Amino acid sequence: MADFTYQIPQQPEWVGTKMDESTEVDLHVGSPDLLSLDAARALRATRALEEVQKSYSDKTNERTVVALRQMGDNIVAFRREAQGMQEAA
Amino acid sequence: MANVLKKALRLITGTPAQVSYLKPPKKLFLRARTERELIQLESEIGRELFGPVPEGHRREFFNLDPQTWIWHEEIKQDDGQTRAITTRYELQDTGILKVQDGSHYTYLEGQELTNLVDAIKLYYEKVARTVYGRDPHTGVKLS
Repeated sequence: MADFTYQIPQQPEWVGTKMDESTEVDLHVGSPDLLSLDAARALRATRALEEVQKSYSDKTNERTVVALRQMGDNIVAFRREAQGMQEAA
Repeated sequence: MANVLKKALRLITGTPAQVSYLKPPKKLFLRARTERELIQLESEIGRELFGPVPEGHRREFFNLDPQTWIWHEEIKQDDGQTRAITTRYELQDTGILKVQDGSHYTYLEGQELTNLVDAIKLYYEKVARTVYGRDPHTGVKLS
């Protein structure tokens, strides 16, 4: 299942401090902390997608393996019967 | 063909020395030979599923037991040596495990998985009809 327990990192100390306009623009546009927050959100979305895909893939594989095993069972049964016929002959 | 099965058996048991010393009772031996012949017939179909076998190559593809499939290929190289590759595919609950040379383990994914699944389905269809004269879907004998 997807991990929805991800905690948003604590806000950096500079948030809420009084700054002049030029500093504020610089911090909010280019701040590595904000970028990392976006990256964390993107990562969280990617992980959720991967979990869904994996779950789907696992179920698909499971169904496929069951079908293939059934084919193998049938082949072995056909083989045994053919052996029995040959031994009887 | 005997080499292929010996290799397959060696891959599964991991004890090659025991194989050569194994002397089964006569009836079991007869049964084993018969099974081998049937697998050989199946493999004649199996080897064609992947296209024509190049000259100088030898290819076998067959079902060993309900959860094991074997691919064996011998390739004659330019220096005259023959290179043999045996791959075992194990059907496990979580997917298909590919084992090469008894030591490389990977779960099949993507196109390779699709190709193997298609090959097994084709093998089953053709072997059921051609070798055993059975309807692959119902198991009923074909008239």
